[in-house]
Amino acid sequence: MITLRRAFRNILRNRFRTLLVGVVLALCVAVFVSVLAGVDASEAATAEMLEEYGEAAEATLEQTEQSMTQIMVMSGRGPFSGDSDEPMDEDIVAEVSAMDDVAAVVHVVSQGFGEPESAAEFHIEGEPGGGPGGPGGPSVSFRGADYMVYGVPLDPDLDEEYHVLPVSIVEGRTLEEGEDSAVLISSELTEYFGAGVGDTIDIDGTSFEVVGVYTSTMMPNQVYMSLDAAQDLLDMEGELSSLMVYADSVSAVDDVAAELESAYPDYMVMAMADMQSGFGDFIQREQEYIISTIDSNLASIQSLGIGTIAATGVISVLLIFGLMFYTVRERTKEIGTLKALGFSNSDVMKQFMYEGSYIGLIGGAVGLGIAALAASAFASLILDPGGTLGTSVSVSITLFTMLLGLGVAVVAGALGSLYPSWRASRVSPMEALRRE
Amino acid sequence: MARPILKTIGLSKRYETDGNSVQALSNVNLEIDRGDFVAIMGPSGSGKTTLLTLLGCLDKPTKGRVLLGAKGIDVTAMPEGSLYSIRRRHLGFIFQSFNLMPNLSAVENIELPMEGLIRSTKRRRKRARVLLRMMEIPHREKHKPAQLSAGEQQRVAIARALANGPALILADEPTGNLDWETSLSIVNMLARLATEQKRTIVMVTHDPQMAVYANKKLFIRDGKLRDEDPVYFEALRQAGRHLPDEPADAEPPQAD
Repeated sequence: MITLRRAFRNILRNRFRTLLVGVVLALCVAVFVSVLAGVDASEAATAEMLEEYGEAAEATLEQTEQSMTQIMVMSGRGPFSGDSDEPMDEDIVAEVSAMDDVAAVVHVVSQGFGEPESAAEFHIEGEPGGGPGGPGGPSVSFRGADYMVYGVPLDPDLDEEYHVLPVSIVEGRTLEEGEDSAVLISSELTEYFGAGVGDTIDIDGTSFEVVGVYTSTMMPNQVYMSLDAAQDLLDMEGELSSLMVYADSVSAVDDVAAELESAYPDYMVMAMADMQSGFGDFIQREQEYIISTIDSNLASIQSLGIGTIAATGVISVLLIFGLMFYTVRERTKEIGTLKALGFSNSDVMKQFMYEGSYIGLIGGAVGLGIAALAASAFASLILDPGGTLGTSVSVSITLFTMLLGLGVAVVAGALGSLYPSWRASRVSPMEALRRE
Repeated sequence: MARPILKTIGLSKRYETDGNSVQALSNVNLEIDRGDFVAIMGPSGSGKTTLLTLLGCLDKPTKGRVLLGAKGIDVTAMPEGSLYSIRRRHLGFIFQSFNLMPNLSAVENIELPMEGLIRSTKRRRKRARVLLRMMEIPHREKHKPAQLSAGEQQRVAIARALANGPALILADEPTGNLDWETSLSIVNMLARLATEQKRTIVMVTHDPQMAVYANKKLFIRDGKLRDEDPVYFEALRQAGRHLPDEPADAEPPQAD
C-alpha cells in the first residue's frame, strides 16, 4: 500500500512532464477506444446490411424464378411500346384468364412521370446472361421518366402467389385491399419526393399518403397504388396498360404466348423467359458481387482499425518507456539510497512499475473521457476519412470497450516501464554515496 | 569480554575499470565494540569511503571478511540478494548530502526504512515522531526537505538511520555540507547517541576537529589502516587548520 501511495506521489514530482506524457497517452487511448468502437459499429452495420440485402436478394430471386412463367401483353397506352394506340379494355382479363394453360392474369395500369413526360419510355436493356457492370446484363430503366405510377389489383391472394407488390418493404407496410389513396414508393423515390412513411405526395394534382417504402433492384422507381386509383389518376377508367399473364408452367409459356399473339395481334406479347434466361445467374452473381464488396469494405475498415489500434499501443508503450527510462536515470542516487536503506531489488522494481502503470491508468481514464466526447469523429476520421467506404458509422462505446481501453493503457504503462524498472533494480547502493 | 560488534579480517578491495586496476583497500583489520564512536580519517582517495561501503554491505570485498553483530555474521559470505535485509535491520546510514526523499515530509522520510518491518501505520508514525523529538525538531514533522535547513535535514537523516534500531550506524562525511556551528551540533548528537544509548557509530570524516568527539580514531592512507598519520596532520597544519593535538585545542571545540 505504501509503495502504491509513494509511487503515485512520485509521478506528481515533475507535473509538467507527467502531464505532457499523460496527454499524448490520453489521445492514444481515445483513438484506440474510438477506433475499436468504430470497427464494432461497422461490423454491426455490415451484418445488418447483409441480412437486409440477403432477404431482398432472396425475394428477388424468387420473383425471378416465378417470372419465367410470365408473359407480358402490352398496349400503346402507357410507357410500353405496342402496335396499337388503343388501350386495353378491362374485359380482356376475363378472356385471357379463360385461355388454356393460363394460371393467372394481373392487370396493370401504368404511366411514367417526369420531364419531359412525352419521352417517358419503359425499356428492358441488355442481353440475357450478362453480368453486372459489364456488357449485356438485363436492366430496367425509364428513359426520361423520373418515376412510374404502377396501378395493380390489391388482391392479397394474388399478391401472395405472384408478388404483385414488392416484397422487400424496408419501412412501413404494403398496400391493403381497398386502399385507394395510399401508395408504396421505392427507397430511391423517398429522396425524389422528399417524403417517407406517413408523408403525403402529390402526383398530377392528386394527394397520396405514403404507407410504405420498398427496395428492389428490378423496379427501382415505381409508385405502387391500387388499380382504381391509377385509372382515376391517369383517366383510364375501364382501361388497362398491360397484362402480366402467368402460364401454368415454364413449358406452357410458348403455347400461351402463341395463343395471345394470335388473339391480339395488335398488342405486344413478350415472354419474360426469353429475356431472363441467365437472369437468375445474374442475380446470384450480382448478389455475390455486392456481398464481396461489402465484405471487402468491412475488411478494409477492420485492417485500418487493427493497424491504428496496434500503432496506438506501440506509441503508448514507447512513450512510457521513454519517460521511465529518463526518470530512472534522473533518480539514480535516490534509488541507491533506497537500496542502502534496505529496499530490495524487487521493491525498487515494483515501485517503478507502479509509477509507469499509474501514468497508464491516468492517461487511460482521461482518454476515455475524450473518446466519450469525440468517438464518432475519431472513428470516421480514421476509418473513413474520404467517405469512400460508404459505411455509415454510428459509434457508441460499450462498457467492455471502455474497460478494455483502460486495461490496455495500464498494461502499456506496465510494459513500457518494465525494462527501466529492471534497470532501476540493478542500481548499486553505492550510488547513494556518489558525490555530486 | 564482549565480542566486538564489527570486525574485519584482511579486508581488501580492488577496482577494475577500463583496463585499469586500483587497489582501494589493503588488508584492513579492525574491531569495533558496542558503543564505540569511531572516526576514520584520511586524505581524499585514501579508501575511507571504500571501507565504509564494505562495512555497510553496500559492496563486496575482493578479499577478506566482515563479521557483523555479536554473533559475528559473515556478511561477505551472504548472497547479494540477502544483504538488503541486513542493511534494513542492522545498519543505519547517514550521508553527506542527507539523501532525503524530496517529495516526502520529515516524518515520512523517517518512516521509510520501517516499511516491511513494522506493518502498523500508527506504530511507524509514533516511532518516527519519537525520533523527531529526540532530534529536537518535532515541529518540523510535516515539512519537506526543501523547507528544512541543512542542519535540520541532517537531523532527519540521523533519525531515519535510527528508525529500525540498528546495531551500527555508518556516517559518510555527515558534516561535509554543514557550517561550523551546525557541524558541531550534529557530531555532538552522534557522540551522545554513542555514549547515552550505546549506539555504535562509524564516521568517515576528513575534518580532525569533528573527529575529536570520537573515542577511537583510525587513519587510512593508500588503502591501509593505521593508528596515526603524521603526514596527514602536517598537511592540514600547513593548510592552516587547527588540530586537536595543539594545546589550545585540547578539549572538543564548543559552538559560540
